[in-house]
Amino acid sequence: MQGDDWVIRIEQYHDWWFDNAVEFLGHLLERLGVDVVWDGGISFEPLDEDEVERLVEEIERLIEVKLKYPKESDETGVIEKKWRVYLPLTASNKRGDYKYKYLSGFLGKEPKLKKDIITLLLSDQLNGQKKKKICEICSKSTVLGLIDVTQGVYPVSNNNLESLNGVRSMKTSFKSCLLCNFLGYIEWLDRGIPFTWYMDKRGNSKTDYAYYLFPKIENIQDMHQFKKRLRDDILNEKKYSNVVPISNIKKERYLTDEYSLLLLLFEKMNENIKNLEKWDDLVCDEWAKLLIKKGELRYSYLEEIHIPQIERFKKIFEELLPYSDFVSHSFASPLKEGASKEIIQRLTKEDQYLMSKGIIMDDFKTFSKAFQIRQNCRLSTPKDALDYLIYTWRCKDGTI
Amino acid sequence: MVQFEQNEMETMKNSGQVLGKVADHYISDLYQLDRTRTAEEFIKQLKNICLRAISIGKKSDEMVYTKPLADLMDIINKHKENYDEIKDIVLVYATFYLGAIKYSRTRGD
Repeated sequence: MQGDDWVIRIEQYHDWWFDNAVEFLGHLLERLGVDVVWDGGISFEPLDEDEVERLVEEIERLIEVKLKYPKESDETGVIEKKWRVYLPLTASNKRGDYKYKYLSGFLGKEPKLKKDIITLLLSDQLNGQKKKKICEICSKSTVLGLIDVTQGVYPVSNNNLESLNGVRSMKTSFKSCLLCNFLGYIEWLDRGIPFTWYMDKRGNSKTDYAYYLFPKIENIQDMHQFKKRLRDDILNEKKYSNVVPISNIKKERYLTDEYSLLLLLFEKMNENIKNLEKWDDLVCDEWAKLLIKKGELRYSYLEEIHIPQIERFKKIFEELLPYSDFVSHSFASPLKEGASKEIIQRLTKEDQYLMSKGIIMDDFKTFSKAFQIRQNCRLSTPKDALDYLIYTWRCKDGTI
Repeated sequence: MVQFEQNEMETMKNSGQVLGKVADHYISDLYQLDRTRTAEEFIKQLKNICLRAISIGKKSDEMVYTKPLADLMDIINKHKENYDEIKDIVLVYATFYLGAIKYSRTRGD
């Protein structure tokens, strides 16, 4: 690269969503063979026509992989691809009797239009033009117009606040530049983000929810290395989650909460990390948890997870996989006859959440709550695994 | 969080086993133990459970040893400030053993 005039530089936002998006764009460009410099953001030479075309092709491919899932049709038995409708990306429209779903925003645009937008943003066409408008996300001036920030651009945006609270005259729209809009949308295609989707088996889709976990790493180069490992060796795209349990069970299991997802992710990382001396450097202890609940509007909630003393997992993993060997084999069991299946399922889900949360957050109090007898049900767990876990956790020399 | 000695852990585990046996006959004793708010209340309830254990031994053929509970009281006096953490560990084991007793009985039936 030959100096600042010749490179496009996208700076880090210091925000959980957009930092991951910048890293993901850098990853996509590296896949195309573009030389990317990671330094407080990403820098690269303006893309030529061929590179833009290949980038659009990659985005189109990822839309199929990330935003759709295979589902067997109840009537014909044919496997069809369905949209992940819980994401705030799909909108529905009625044409006659048929209600169809389509992608909104940048991802829903025709490939040619995508190409034009990317050419405008990532080649040097805008170089030297006078910039007037200021983006409310990146605070930078732009020559192009500003666009409303929707949940597709930033999942916790309150853009539709007026429709949520019923006061239609209340306008809280944020405006963003085209680059922030583009980055926000493509982040949904990121394969380096662990997720789990819980769908009610009885077909009550209103109780659907999904958890997405975003690593919070300040140095973008470190974040790139971390997510590269996740993409290459650990995450594996499936219908309900991209973190697949280690056991050889053919049927895909539901991970019903964020802490179980995190615990299973660490187990898989532990398997993958060969050099155990660097264990705590290679595992991330700060995460942003995004919960999306499906409804007419997609409700989204954000919470930070800070894991205390992450190095303690190294010792636990030596003998036991806390999720695969223990939490996933624990279930609520009735003390007397008469407990309904729904109660047992709900208590199992709650107990697994409490156990995983207790282990992740190093909080024995939360862990022990899972063992309380509720609604005439007690928790059934594997004894050896329970012994090992409690002794390594609470005993001075940590041995049985 | 307090880290306990190996023998202390063993005592808590064995106490859980005794509590599980007593709770199999008198489940409310376990609930009351869970509801205690101070170390003194906890010890008082443990003493009640000791008496229960003796009466269970007299009524049935099954002997319930109360020594682990006496040792547990010593540990609580040693870690009075952190009695809550001891309570959590003991209750985890107690519920676990109670479940195991109930399960073995249903299997036996």
